Amino acid sequence: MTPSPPRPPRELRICTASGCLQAGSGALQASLERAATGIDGPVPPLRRVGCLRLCGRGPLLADDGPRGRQLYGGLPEEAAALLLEQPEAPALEAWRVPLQQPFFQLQHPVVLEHCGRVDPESIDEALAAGTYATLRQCLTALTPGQVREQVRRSGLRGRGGAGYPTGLKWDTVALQPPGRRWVVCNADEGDPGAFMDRTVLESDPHRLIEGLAIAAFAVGADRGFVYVRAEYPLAIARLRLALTAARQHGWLGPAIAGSRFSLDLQLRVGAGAYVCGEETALLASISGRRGTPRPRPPYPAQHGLQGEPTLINNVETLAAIPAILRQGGDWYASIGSGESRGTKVFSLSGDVRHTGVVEVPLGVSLRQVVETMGGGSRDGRPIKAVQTGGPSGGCIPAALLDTPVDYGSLRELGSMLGSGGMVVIGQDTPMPALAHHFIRFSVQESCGKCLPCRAGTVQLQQMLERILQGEAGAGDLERLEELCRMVAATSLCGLGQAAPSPVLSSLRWFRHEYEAACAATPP
Amino acid sequence: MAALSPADAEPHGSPADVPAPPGVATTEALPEETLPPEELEGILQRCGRDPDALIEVLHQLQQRLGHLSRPALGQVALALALPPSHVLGVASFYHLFRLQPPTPHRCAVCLGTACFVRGAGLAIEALRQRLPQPGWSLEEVGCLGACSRGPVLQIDGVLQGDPPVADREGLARWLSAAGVPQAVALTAPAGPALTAGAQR
Repeated sequence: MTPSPPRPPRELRICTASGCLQAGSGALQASLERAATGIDGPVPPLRRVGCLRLCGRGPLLADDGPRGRQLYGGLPEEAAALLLEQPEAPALEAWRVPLQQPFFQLQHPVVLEHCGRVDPESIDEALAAGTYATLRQCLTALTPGQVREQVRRSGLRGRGGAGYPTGLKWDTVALQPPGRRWVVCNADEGDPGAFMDRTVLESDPHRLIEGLAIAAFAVGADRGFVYVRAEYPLAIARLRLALTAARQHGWLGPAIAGSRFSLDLQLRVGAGAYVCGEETALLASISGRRGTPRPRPPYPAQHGLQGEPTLINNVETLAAIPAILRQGGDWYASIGSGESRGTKVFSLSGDVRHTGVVEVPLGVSLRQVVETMGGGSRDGRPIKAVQTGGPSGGCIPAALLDTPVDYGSLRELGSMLGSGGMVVIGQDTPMPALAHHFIRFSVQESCGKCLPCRAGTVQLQQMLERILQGEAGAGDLERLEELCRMVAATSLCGLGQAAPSPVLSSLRWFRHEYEAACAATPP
Repeated sequence: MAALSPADAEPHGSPADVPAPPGVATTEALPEETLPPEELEGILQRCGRDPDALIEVLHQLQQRLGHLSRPALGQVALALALPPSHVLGVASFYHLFRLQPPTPHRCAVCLGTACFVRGAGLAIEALRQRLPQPGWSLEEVGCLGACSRGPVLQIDGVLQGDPPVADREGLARWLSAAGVPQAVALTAPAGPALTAGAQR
């Protein structure tokens, strides 16, 4: 590992993830660079880094000086020269974001440990931060079985939503009869309101490559794909760059780090289909076909790409791997609670004061994430509910905010941990309208292969429309529930099976809103 | 798989064979419908000629032509030795592939959950009043990734956030400032181009 160069006494880091770029971090960077040319004497270097977490205050700029770290949000162009010349100026106070607040203090970065610290477009910075050192360690000092042992001990479960134990999945693939194996990274993050994987891809792409390479070594694969949704152009560009750099530096390709392990990794870009996040649909799409799922078993672990064993893991799952192998599975398992080990990244949005990305140990309460870290609703009124798990999840009413955020607890309440999108629902959003919003999404995204999902979701949408328009009558809620159960029980894949969840969970916790809508119907 | 030579990849149907899809303005010059064979060959050299490469080839084709015309899909089918039905099946499956030429102006409204919670529905209602307009289309799209500025609109490729959705007149002014034309009078005769409105 190259020793990291000594840090200058003062350094600026500007967030170049897509949230801040859209808020104008490009213009801020330009104005800082312009201001720097007009200053005699030394100016602090400005580095482009990944996500600095509090997307809602973007563009974000971190100032690491001899007197500590400051964070600025939405700094205007006129203030650029002032910031460079007089970092202590009181006038800058207006844009200062206090770092002592719970939003930052309660974060537990594992997956995002380098995110916001390294330039995502520079492999040198990634290497200086220690990326690929764990891969080298695995290749030179451990057997594939020992790597899998650590992952088993870590208790890591799939972060894409299903929560399947990662170690078990790796063992299943590794223990298939001898022959070729594949690895696939599922970066088709499609849940509306979820942007955790995008954060990793845009902020620290080399970490994902390292995790994927360790996974490939552990299961005996020598080729694989990263499947990214086309809606993430910046993530695609940075990953492409990172793949090229990794090949040039010998971290991908033949005989990695002087070992006998080689890995050929290709990027595949989706074309806008939510269902492709389902693993069998994803494999179909990688193979250039319509992204329709097929019945399982056989699972891709046995019968995947070209009929060969294929390991499919989500971005966040793979990005946790380098830390697990570096610090040991037991260390990772010491974080979290019960059956849910380690940390989880959540994207916090909706009617919440602090929009952004948080990484917390599993098992903390929903209240801690949404109210303590998120700061509650934007107008200060009590929140109404929190939606987790996207179109496959449900809503948790405000009265149950003390529920721990883990796989089991949220499922018991009729929602799910899901991939990590957390949308805060304020008092003004009617729950039947929210349920309709999700069902409409499922109607648009149903692939059309199986009848319950293709036709059932359309019927659900129409029933909800009748309720919303005040045309529903007696017995309509029961019929709605019955159809929900039927669609959930008989659909082919996860999309259809989970599509009714937003309706069922809002019926469970906010039935009075549906009843009020039905009662408003003239006889 | 036997790779076809570029000479084989001639389009097997000229644009004239295909009736113009309904709702497409015919007053403007038709955009290119097919790719010169040497350009297609360039794409195939980059993407490969396996059936696996189909989605990537279609991406590049759309980037070049603006949409995936039937003749162009025919070219691809021939070049990759795939049944035309398979190629059209894939092209029509994915939301991001356009089978019809795009309108000159586009307004996309993000319907991600965060934007929905922050009132994207009100923005759409206002836009439905204003557009149908000749040369404009209104699209409802999935999360645009600017959840912190929601509801967000993408008007001719420029992302604009936080319109005052609760204030009807303020929203109207905001939309005008953002470049969305005023609603046409309802009595105006509906020309053929007017149908190029809401897509979903």
